[in-house]
Amino acid sequence: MRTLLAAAALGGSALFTPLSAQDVRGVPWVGCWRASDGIAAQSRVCVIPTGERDLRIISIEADGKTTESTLHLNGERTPVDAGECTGWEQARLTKDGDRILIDAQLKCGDSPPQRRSSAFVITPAGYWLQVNGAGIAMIASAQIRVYSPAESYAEFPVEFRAAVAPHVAEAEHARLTMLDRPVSATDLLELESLGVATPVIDLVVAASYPKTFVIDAQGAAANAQLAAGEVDVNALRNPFYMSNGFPMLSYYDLAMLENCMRFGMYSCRLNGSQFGYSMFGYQGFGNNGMYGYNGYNGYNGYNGFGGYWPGTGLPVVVRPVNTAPSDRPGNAGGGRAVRGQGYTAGTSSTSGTRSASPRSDNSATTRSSGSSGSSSSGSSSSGSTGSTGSSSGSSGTRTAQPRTP
Amino acid sequence: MVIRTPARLAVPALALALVAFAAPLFAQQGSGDGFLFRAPRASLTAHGGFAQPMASGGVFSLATSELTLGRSDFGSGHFGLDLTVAFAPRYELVFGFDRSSSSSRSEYREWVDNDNLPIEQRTRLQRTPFTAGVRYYLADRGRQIGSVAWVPARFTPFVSAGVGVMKYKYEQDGDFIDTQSLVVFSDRLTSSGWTRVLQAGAGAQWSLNQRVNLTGEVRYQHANGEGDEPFGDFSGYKVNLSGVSTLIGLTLRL
Repeated sequence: MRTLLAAAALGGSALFTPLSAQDVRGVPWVGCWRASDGIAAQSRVCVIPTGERDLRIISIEADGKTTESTLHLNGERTPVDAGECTGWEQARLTKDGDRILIDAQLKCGDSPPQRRSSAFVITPAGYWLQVNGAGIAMIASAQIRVYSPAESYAEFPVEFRAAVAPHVAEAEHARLTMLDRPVSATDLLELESLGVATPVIDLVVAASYPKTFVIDAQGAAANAQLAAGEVDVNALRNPFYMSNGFPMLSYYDLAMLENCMRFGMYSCRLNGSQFGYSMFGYQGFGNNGMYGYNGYNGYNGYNGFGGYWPGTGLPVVVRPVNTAPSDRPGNAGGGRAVRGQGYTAGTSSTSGTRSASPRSDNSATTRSSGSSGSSSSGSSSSGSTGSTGSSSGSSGTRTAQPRTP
Repeated sequence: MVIRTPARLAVPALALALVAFAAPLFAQQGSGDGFLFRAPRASLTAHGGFAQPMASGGVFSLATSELTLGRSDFGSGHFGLDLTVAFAPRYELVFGFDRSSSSSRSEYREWVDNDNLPIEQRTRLQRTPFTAGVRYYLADRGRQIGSVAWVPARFTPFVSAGVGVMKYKYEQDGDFIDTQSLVVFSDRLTSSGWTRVLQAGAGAQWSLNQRVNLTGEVRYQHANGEGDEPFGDFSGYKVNLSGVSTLIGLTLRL
């Protein structure tokens, strides 16, 4: 967060340095993808290299309508001027080519400038995970979109198939080789040096280590969408999803809460009781913006990435595996043993139907505790110096004499 | 100083093995490629090295003046374990113990027996301090990146200070000369007990991977065994237990 604050103070000017020539034609994202997160918008996407440094990102809606944008992976700022919103956007590949990082800052109308930090990662399961953080001054929210490689290219328009075909094999090879390369300390230091937002870094880590972290879609919203048929059940089976059915105070919430208190964040507020909805509140779903700017859907109509980024990902938090209350081991019924009181039942189990009463006879076996004994022996040495009176083992006949040189 | 027996070496070897073999197990849990998912809250160090007591005054003066012993004969290898618990980003509580034991053969410098044979004995010094203290790292031990990643620093110097108690035993076993009658007698003379110890140290840690550090440290311990009671084996003599030890060990971040 300190990095972000510093970055904000610098206006982001030093976040990205221009890249040396880095051919992006075979990057793992090249190809066509299908949304696996159940979000209807931009459910199909094709990524087509243009030259050595740019990626065309084409979103295809269910009705066949397409939206196209270009991502300039040159590490240089690209001005954005979209109606009321102006600002810049900056994208680059990480040094190892395993992630795409995008940073942006936009100001829409009279609203405060908003920062957005994004990362494209390939998860160990081969999914394309778009990790997005957005906020005012400090990146304070996190959303993801999840895409899986298209199983059939037949569903994509022929012109896109033709454009992407020459690069698919190389991209798939790159994707396969990077599956065994989870994010490393070196990568993290690079992300930090580039000013990538904390929520985004957390999600990048969580995506790399699905056995340790859950990217929690915070059940209520996911369930709401699920009930409305908007969320693909299969999406919730993804290794980076676990919907718990209720909001929770996550590891990440705690960190954010601490930052809220420390920096007095402008829009840091906890929408629900018990921190349940925290700053990732589901007002962020749809068009309400988690900062309470009605109609402030991200960039007020400008979706980033030249219009590509949907701005309606799943709000998520990162939490360690097995921290959901239902996963906590033991003490399921609240019972315990208290010294001086013996066993006590917890408040949750007092309504049981089985009770105990004193024995009616004296046939109970009396258990006696056995006795145990131990013996120990000690020894102490005794002796003396300078006197033979109490010495032991002295021969009595052996005497000393000066050593002759 | 003599080479320690294999049985005695087994204990420190086991301690080191414990850390060395436990490290990969821990490395698979709670850590990523070169980083941990949280800052370590504790650590366990198995260390060994060389301990050199001051070996001056009291019983040591007697031994080094009469017998063929020098200060270096009281130096020995040592091993120990340290458990640290972090209570601030740069501070740790350190609970440790180590053990050093020297054993040296000697004979009277100026005297032989009536068969012109040397009058020999063996001198042992055992020190086992148990200490609690504070370690302060002069640089950050690592960097928190995001909320769920902690990247350890490659090199971290530290200083430490602590207090504790030391169990000690100074023992001479063999033949001695009655200074009054010049009769040679055999005996085992012992001075042992517990005494307070002050400890200060400085060292550094080198990060081998996200879980394991190589730790090097120089420690000074200040302690004095009380003089023996009037009828003790070393009546009136004090045992200077102070000394410097150098250690190197493997630290497992927990």
